[in-house]
Amino acid sequence: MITEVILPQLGETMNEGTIVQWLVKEGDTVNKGDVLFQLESDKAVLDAEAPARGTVLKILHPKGSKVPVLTVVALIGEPGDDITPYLSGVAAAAAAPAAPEPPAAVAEAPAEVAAQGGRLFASPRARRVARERGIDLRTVRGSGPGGRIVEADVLAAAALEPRATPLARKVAEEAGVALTEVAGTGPGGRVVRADVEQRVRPAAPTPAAVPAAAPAPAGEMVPLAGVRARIAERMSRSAQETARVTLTTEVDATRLVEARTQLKDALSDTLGFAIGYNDLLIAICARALREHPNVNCRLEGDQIRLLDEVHIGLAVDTDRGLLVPVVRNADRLRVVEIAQRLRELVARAREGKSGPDELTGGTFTITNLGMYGVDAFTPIINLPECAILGVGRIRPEPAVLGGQIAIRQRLWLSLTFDHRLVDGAPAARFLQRIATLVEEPYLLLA
Amino acid sequence: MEDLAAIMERQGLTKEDLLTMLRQMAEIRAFEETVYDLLGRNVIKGASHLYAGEEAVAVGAIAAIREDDIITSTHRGHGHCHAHGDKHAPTPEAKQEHLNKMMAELCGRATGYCKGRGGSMHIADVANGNLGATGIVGGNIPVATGAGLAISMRKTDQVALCFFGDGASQTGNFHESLNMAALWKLPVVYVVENNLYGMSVPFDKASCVPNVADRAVAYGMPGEVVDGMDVLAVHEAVSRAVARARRGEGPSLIECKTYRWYGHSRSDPRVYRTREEEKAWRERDPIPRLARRMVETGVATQEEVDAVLAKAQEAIARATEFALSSPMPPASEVAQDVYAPDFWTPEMVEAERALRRRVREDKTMRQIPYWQAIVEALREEMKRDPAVFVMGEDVGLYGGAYGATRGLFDEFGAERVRDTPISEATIAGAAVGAAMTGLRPVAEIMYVDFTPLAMDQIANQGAKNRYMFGGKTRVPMVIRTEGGTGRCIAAHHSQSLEALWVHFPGIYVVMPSTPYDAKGLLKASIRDDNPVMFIEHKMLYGVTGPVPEEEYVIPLGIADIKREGKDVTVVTYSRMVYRALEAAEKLAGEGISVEVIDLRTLKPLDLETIVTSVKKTGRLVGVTEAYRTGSFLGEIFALVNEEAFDYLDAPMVRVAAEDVPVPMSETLEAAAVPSTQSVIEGIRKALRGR
Repeated sequence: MITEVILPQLGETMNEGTIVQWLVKEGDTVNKGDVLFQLESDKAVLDAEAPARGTVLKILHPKGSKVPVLTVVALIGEPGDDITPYLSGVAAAAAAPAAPEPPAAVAEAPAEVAAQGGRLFASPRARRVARERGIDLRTVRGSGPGGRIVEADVLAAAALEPRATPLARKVAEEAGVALTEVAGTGPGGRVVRADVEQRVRPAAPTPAAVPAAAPAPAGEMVPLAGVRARIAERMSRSAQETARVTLTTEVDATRLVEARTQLKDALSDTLGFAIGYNDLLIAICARALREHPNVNCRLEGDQIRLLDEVHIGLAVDTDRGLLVPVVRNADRLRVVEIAQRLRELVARAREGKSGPDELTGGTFTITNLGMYGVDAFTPIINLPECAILGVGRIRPEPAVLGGQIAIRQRLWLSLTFDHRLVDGAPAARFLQRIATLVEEPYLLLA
Repeated sequence: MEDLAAIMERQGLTKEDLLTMLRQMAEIRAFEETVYDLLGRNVIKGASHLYAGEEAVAVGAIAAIREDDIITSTHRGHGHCHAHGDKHAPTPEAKQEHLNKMMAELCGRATGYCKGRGGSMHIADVANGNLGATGIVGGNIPVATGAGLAISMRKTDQVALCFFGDGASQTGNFHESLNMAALWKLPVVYVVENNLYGMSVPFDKASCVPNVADRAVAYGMPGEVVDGMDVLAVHEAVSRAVARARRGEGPSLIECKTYRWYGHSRSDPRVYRTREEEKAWRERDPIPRLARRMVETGVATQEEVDAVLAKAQEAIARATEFALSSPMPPASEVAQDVYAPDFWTPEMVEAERALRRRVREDKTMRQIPYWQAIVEALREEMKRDPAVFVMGEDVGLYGGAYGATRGLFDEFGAERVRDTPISEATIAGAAVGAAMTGLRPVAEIMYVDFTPLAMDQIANQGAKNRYMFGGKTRVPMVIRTEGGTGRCIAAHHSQSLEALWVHFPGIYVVMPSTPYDAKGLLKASIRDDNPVMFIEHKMLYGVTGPVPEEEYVIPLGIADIKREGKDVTVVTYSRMVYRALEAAEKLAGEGISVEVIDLRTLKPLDLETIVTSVKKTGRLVGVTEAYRTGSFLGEIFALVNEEAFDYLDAPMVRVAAEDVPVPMSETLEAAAVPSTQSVIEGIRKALRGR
């Protein structure tokens, strides 16, 4: 007997839902109550359970399909049951505008739910197992209610990820070595530091460790893993998804340099560090964003959310790769507070000890390549933010000032924004405001 | 006034006897005056209800009994404790030692009678027949009645002397106990110390008959009013009553009119009585009264009398010095002596585990119903130990409301299978008294819903006495009762009240689900030296199951894994075991593997089995027929949280009865408690994690 699996109506206002992920495949045997797929309504991602026991005969709507509630999305029965009456409907569905591939953001939804609000939900048992096996829970996707990570999720992750000591894990990450490629010699096949170091140092390869490699172009293979993999994924997504435009402007940063020098001289002894340009630029951008809320926004589905809070990320080059610590509520902080917060964040990011909300949740990012002699460039937007400011080098140049030629400190600013969210003119006005604040930094006091 | 020599002749008293009475009274007085002072200086903490003024009652009455007799005391009990302890101390050194232990107990010292556990209101010397004081007014009247019952069943000529106040004579315990004692002609002498006030309320504002003794006629026993300020009058009246009791003619009620010098307690300003009244009573002070009579009639010289009075002061001063220089009990001993030691050994536990396997696997084993398993356990234990007897409502000829004593009446007779009046408090209290004096009562309370009627006796006296008395007594009694829904008899006959009983320290709670468990656990409960609340289930009496022919006991505190599984643990007990097993069977068809743990005993609790299972499965469902709020599941979950938090993979799930009084109508009754389907849903919820 065939049992129809329908897309359930999970609320009175729900008309349709998106199948985020199928947890079973055709031919699988399922029990009544097993989770078959995850669906996303306009409110949440939820599990849909098998209405009966049997074999999954057919999945009628693949991952990513958006279908009306009560639509038959799969069939459960005995192998050999006749499912042809259902297939014409699928043909019709296939003929309809192709079901779009799910956007990456949707596919990631459960993990994001698990980490919602920066808090990671995992059962005590999952935490214990993760601790014992050295699994970072932040890398595990939760299948439980609300994305809670349960033991099975950790075990699944552990099955993919080799067992390794925390030290080996750290060394591997620093060296950019995938643990899957390291043979473990520790207790129970655990990867220990020596194993990683052995892998990194190709000088003395043991014969067994050298794979019978197919001819390949010369050059060391560095696996796309860890932070590198994350960067790759995010950058390509941004490049694919955004409609980006870069505006550039040259500003007179003389007063900014003076302000920075005075702050440095006045405060370095007390603070124990020197106030830097980035600290001032964060304060400037925060002020500008507060005044131009249309740039402080993000895309959510087919809606633009104008964000209430201003959190500024700063791209930082570390041994671990590019990281973006976020100064939260920067518009409400004094420059000194921004400076202190930023140093704490950067220190933790470099040590790999960042809290869960310290590297995420920004509403705008600054990337400064001035120290490398770069003048202007086209930064890539840090999704899901709307815009990013590229900062070039500050250098003395002749400039016209009050009808005279004078030597001034000049600076190029590059603003890349997502044209889907904001138009050129408002973006230009936003950049103009940043320029004004750079030229006349005392306005921050106003 | 009658000639003293004539009185002594009639009562068979010597000069030495009189000097002893004078000494004891003077020592009580000095003791109480010292305690009053120590309370005022905050050296003695807590409550002390002083006996000064009433000395003639304790001394006269206790002089009238033998050393092998029994007494019970009250919250105003220092006089009873001293007169009794002094009587049992053969030498002057022993007498001083007794006073030392008494004062030390009041001061909460390790050297006290009860190692500082009981203090003024719970002082006892059970080894010598003082079953102790009680903080509950009227609390010991059933206990003394039970001691009388034990004497009666052992057929010795001892008596039980039961002290209580006029306030206690207004409690239900008084009525129930006097009725039961008179009915069974128990050798109990009830001595009412009527000091005219129940705390502050005058006796005539609490009773419309002028004398407590007048009520004796209602129970068919003699009642007598005596002058409680005259030690010889008390002695004479109590002697008469004791002689009557020893002859097997039953109990008496003696009311001693007396007066307390101090207030109800140290903090009482005594606004409810006049200073004139106090003065009038003080003029009748029993101590100078006896001293004067002895000197005036030439029985003793003034010097002899004065020496007695002076020595009394010295003895108390020494006792006080001893007490105050004694160590406080170490805090490390706080949990000692709540329970008597277990009698079972690891070998017995292992043997039972093996037997359990056989019971499960041997398909040829005889099958008997649950009720019969109970009957067999009672029969075997009654045969094994003559101290075991059964009492309760309708347990005799009728065979018990659920047939669990069927046939025993014919086999053992009305003495050991004893029908009682409908007096739950005294059924339980008499069990406490009988247990403390050497018997092993199995008292039936027909429904667990009725156990609150006996709660004071079971919880305040039975469960706590061992601890309060410094571990120096045992209360080996079983309260058999039954609970649960299933017969449409509504909220006074269908509850599951085990959570009330696990709450009190000092009592075990056993709830068997199968005939095998019922028999083995009941036998173990009867042999256990602790009080046990043994709760059967009304819908299980007819359930049949394998029970070995041979003798066996099941040690308390060992859970039984009724079904092994790996996905989720279900912890339950009593009838819900069957629903859990049905649910497990149904879910097995879906590939879900459920482990079902039958606790069998809630206290002692086999936490190890629960935790081991939770560590395996990561998921816990508790199933109980009790009201959800405050059910025993909450305790189990808290323990699992403490012991196995890191092993939980999902929130723990309770499947419990609705928080409504159990309704009568069949559909409502069924809806009020967990069904197999609700157990299944609970398990699914645990598997889903929400």
